Amino acid sequence: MTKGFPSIQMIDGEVLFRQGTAAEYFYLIERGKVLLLDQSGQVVLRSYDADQVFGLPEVLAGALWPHTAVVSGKTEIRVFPAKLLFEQIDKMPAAHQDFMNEMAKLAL
Amino acid sequence: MKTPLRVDAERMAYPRQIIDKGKQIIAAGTATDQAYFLISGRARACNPLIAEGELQSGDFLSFLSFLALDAYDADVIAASQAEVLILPRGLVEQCWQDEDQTSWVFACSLAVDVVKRKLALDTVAA
Repeated sequence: MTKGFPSIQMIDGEVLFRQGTAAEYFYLIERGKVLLLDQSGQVVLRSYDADQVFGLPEVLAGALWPHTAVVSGKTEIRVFPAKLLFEQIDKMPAAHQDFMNEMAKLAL
Repeated sequence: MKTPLRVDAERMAYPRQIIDKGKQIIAAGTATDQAYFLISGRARACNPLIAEGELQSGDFLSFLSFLALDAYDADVIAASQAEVLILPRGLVEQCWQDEDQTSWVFACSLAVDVVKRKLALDTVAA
């Protein structure tokens, strides 16, 4: 699934997305770490490490990012458009689609 | 939460346990290398990270923990006499992927996200 999608390299402190912007992509961290910050930008709410996918709930909901994401250290991130997620979900059996949507609701 | 995985006759051939009401089915800290499917009866998790309400026949027990964590986060107790099917993780994963491969990856990612967010909320609340 990862083939053909861009991987971006970022440096410590770079912003991946800002709070309030549309969640149009989801991400696979290939190397490094991403931190989600509170409104003050001082408190780390949660973090994601290598091999973790994040952003699925917001993308599924067509939501705005509730927090700003910055990277910690040298980080490489594979970027996937929302369209890919919806295409993949459309291909799933109905019970799997329902399960994905239930899970996304739990996350938000 | 109903999982999309069907438990058919073939899978029913795996070990089963009959658990009396009030007894423990899963102990917190047990490795999630096995899934617990409730064939009959009712069960409930004690102070789980993610509340799933009363678990009934046809439910996998603490399935979010199974997907997201290395170990179950809460005790699960039989709320009535319960018959439980115990399935190895590899089998669950294989059966799920036989139905839809991408769904397994997304389900695990979403489950990890749910747990991370819950843990973050608990930390803020504390």
